[in-house]
Amino acid sequence: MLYPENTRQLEAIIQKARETKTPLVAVSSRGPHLHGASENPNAETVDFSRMNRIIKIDRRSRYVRVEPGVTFDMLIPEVRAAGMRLNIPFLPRAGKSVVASALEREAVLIPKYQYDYTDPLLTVEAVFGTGDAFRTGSAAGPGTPEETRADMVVPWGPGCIDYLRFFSGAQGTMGFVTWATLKTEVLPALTKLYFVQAESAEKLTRLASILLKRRIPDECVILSRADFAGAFAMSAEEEEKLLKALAPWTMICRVSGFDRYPEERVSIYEGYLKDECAQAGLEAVTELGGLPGLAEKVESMIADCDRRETYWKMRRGGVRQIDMLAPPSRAPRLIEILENLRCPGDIGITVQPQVQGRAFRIECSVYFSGAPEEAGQVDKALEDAARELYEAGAYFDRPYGSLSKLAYAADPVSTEAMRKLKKIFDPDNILNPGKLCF
Amino acid sequence: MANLADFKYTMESCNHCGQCKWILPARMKGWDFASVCPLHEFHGFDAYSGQGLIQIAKERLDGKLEYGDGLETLLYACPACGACDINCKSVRDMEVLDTIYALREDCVEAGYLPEPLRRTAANVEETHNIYGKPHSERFAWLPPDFRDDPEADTALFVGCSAYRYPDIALAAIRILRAGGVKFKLLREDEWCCGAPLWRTGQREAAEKLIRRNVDTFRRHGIHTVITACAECFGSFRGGYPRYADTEGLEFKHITQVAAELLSGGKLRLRKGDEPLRVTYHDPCMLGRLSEKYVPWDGEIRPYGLHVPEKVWRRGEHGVYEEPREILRALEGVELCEMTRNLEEALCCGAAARDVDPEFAVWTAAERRREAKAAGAQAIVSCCPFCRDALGSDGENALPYLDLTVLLAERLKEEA
Amino acid sequence: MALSAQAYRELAAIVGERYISSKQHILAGNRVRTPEIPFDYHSADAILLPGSTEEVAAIVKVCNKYGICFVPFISGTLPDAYANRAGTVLIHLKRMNRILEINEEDRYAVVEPGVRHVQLYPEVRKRGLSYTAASVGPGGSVLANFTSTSGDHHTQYGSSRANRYLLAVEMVTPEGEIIRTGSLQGGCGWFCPDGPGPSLRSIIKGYFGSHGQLGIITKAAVALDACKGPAEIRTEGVSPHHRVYFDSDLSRVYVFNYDNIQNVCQAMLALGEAEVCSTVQKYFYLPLTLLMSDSANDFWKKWTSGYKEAMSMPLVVHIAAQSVREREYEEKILFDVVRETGGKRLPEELENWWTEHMDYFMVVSRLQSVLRLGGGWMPIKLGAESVQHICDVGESIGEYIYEFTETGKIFDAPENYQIIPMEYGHFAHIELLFMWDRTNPAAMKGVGEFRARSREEDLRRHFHAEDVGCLNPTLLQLGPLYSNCHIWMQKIKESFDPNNVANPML
Repeated sequence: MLYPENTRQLEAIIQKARETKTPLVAVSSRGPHLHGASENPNAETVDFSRMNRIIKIDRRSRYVRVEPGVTFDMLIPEVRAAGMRLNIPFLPRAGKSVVASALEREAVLIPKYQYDYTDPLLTVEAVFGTGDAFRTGSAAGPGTPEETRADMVVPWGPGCIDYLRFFSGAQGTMGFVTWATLKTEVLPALTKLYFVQAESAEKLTRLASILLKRRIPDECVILSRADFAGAFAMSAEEEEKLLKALAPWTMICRVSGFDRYPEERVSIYEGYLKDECAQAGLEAVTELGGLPGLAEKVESMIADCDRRETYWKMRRGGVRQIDMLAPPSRAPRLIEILENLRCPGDIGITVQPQVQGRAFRIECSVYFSGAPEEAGQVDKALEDAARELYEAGAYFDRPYGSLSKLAYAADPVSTEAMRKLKKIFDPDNILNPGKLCF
Repeated sequence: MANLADFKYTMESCNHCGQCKWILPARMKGWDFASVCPLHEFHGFDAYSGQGLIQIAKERLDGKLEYGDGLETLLYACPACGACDINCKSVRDMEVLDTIYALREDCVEAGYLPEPLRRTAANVEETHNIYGKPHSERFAWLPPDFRDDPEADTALFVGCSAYRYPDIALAAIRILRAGGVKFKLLREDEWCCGAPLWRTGQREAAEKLIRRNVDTFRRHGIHTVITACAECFGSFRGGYPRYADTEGLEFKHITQVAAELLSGGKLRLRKGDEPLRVTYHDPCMLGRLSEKYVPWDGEIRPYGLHVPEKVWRRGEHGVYEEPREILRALEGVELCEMTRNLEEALCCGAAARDVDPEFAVWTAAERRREAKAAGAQAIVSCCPFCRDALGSDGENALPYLDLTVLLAERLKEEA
Repeated sequence: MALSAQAYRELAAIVGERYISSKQHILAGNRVRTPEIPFDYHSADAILLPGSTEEVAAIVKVCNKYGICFVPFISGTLPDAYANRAGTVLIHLKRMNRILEINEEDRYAVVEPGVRHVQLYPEVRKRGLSYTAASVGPGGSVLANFTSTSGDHHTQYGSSRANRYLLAVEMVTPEGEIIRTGSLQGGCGWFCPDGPGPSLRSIIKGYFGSHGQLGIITKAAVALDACKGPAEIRTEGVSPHHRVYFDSDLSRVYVFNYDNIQNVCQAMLALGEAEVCSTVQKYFYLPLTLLMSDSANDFWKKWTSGYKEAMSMPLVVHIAAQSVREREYEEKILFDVVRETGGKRLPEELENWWTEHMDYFMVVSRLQSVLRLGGGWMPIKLGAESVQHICDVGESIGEYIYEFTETGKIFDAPENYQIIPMEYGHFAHIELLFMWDRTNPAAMKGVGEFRARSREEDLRRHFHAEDVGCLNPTLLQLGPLYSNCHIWMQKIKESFDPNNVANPML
């Protein structure tokens, strides 16, 4: 294990690795690691836990800049203290690296703030597989970060290349990021949480698409009964109660008011929400049965990471996941395939609207005991399902493990173009070799 | 040398914004019918556009381009419809169309006027009409008992198209009579208006003919000239002041007169036999190119200041409303508008016919397609050349109705 | 290498004789100097009009075979759309002009390069959708705007720059292969630009597009927003006095004048935090007066009779609400913020100009009237950063521009910059637009001096006021200051374009 403490050290590590042809793989989160991106046999692990500075929190221009070792449990309260909020995934692991989460394009909870799939990631500093440091977007220059007066927040460029997109979704195969700038948003002065329940996910995905087209809700996520219960229950008994009380699908959404006339904004936007629900034959309610104080608990939990000792997805012992992107027209069919998955364990599905409602990240988690035989069966079931999902239009934009075969199969010419880029940025193929299409 | 150099400012001002090719955003309706330059739409290369032509003009001015390899065909394939000019002028102080005219004069001077246009010019010279028909037959369609008003100071100028479409001239007469307008015909003194000369760069011949015509009007004591031909009308207003002093002469189109008569209650109309949904095609020379030309001979100072101030012809004051008023007055006629209407009207392509017949046929078919897309059962206009183009058989065939004839047929009585 | 007869024949066999030409009068349409460029363009050897991706790919392969350079273009508005050396063909993409799909449920449109803003915008608006069309006029290519050039629009405050909305594309590489990005690469349709894994989208457009230097985009999907505002637009009048109205209680325009850019900054940030208004923009007074003028002469009358002063630092705001109650709520906040920041509302007769020209917020064609003073114009800076930073950049202009305006080297409009916030004030774009007397042959010297000085001042202050552009000489100058990006861009260029035929500028 190597523990760089700053960019210079990382540059030296990579240069040395080039000389010795030593593969490197990056890790910046505390465990458990669910996707296998940071596992690579024969590779030396570069652990970024000592690069854990919160470099800057800027309230005026609404951004933070952090090193990769900064985790959600560290950052969320600091940002809140500055009167802001991060656009975080749904109940992320406390020990998850904020930078890694953004680089992995993890689905975020407030789709109206997400203008494209890399949002809220703005700029990064990274070291390529050549050992050269680079800064993306307006962080590129002019001059060094110490010299520039810029806030280094614009994601595009420099020039005609979007360098940020070499690192986004790359599983550390193009370069290792040493800090990242992320958007933050003002903390609402007033919020109101709503639940919308339905028998089918399709009713909620259609509703979510419409709501987000109109930019009505802030947080907006759709959970299957299993994932809702698993996420918000503090014990197996609570989980059981929730499973009995809940409809098959629940959308959680929140409307907000800011510093100026917050009640008025909440009133206007909840009016829109209720109108759209009524048109869809659904109802938005502020309370859910099942557990006392559930609404308050949900409201406080969705603004934070999962601080439980055991990450909620690991509550049974083991979990396997498959996630995909889909446009609104295709999401219902994919969810249906997942609902009908046959394998050991319980299936939970989280459908996170993305990019202002123009897509959904559908994440299916199979919760099982963790026993190796069961793991094998679950893996097989998911692999089979992947083919069926792919043919139904699922887009595996983050192709972990064997999914990369499917993801890159359709277009070998474009895949080869990607490999050309890899050759430029990691000519010795030392960064997480064997992953994706590399 | 033709006065190409007078337009150097225009030639050097083009920033390639593309305004000359596309409908103004204030009028956009969708993917279809968004192009205003049929020449560019058909041929594709930028040379085939207002922008291209002024750049060709610049290279001619700089001595970098020669005729003989198809340039003259391009130059006269352009129907000089003025869409590029008007659209450019919506945002710039440039004279795109006048540069094209000057380029044509340059082409004529270089000896490259295309043969079909030479023949037309010869016809005008020899027989005073574009068809080469005997001048004595210019008014052969007139009923033998027709009497005009010899003391009138208003003339009805029938135009060369009366040889082909005497119904238009007869309809104009009916309307004027019904409205109690005193007028006379110039008969053998009426010669071609000169449009095919000045619009094709034949400056010398145009000047001679136009001055002759102005003298004729004055000699006959004419103060007002009415015509039912859009081309003649546009020439009188947009061409004649370039070559002659037209002070004291007023030029009107029959639709302007008719609209005035209608609003004054002087024309009584009967209902039509069948309801009809029509669209109105704005002829270039009646619409955007019919504003009066005001000569300007000044200086362009830094940052575009024109000294003295120039009167710009931007197409705003063309004859758009009066034809529509007439159509709205006809019971049973429902007017629907094409996307490209008013000053954005797509040219019918007639003026390109002699030099680029394939393009001309395509343009007319395209315009008919637009008329059909607007839901029209017939296309109405008031230009005999638009009638030639739009009324022809071919793709997207649609009945063509001349507005003057349509109105005359609806008159209840004559005075 | 000049175009040989054999190469010409092979190219003609691809597109057909009708769609290729090397005649001088045809080439003349694409080589005459434009007012803002101090040199004559090279002439292309031929111009081609392909009709499909396959034809484009075949053309590119022939170019590689014979070492012929190619420049793809559509409207030809930018200097990068011309030959810059001998032995170049222009590939004019206007025939590829289909709107392939408008997907209302998934909110995207797929277009070919020849589709113009004036075509796509009304089609999506009919369907209750919208996108930010760069302010380049009606003939601007949607695809070029989103993928290959730059282009910002007044309404970016409540949305963002085109970069955010570019989805999957199909592209012909400089070697003639056809690649696809994002979900299209994954065989999953057009909706996502990213992945699988890291994205080929990275080489499609950075801050700017590459103007064809890394390939020719032949199809692109663009994301669509909901259209806030009436579906029906009322247009009256005839050019040049068109009036375009939104007849709706949900739409209002307000314009306030300021005397201090930092107050404008504060207003922008406050409105952004409240997430109110659809357009918020610090516009510039010279184009604004030109927009309101009928001619250069009319401009001069207005400019010297008080327009310059009345609109010296205008903040243009458009509220496009979903209900009257929302509009009233947003108005309340707007007036509070303006009062707090010292803005003064323009007199009604000036403010009404916008109410009568709502095309300003859709597809602007009138913007070409900025060229009305002869065509000598240049937008510089053009970078984007945080709102505060960009306002600081704007504020600094006054420290060096007067040397140029007061000596007549450039037009006397020292405050002539616009700032457009994006994403409710997360960042902003700046454009400093200056004009010069292009009829004065000596003026280009002053232009060059001012450009250089502007850049020098920004670098001296460590401002990020401009980006490095595409693979052109500016890149070599600035690249070393921008993380040596010039080295990486050149490596990418060499990898994808080993024969250096794709619009080479270096």
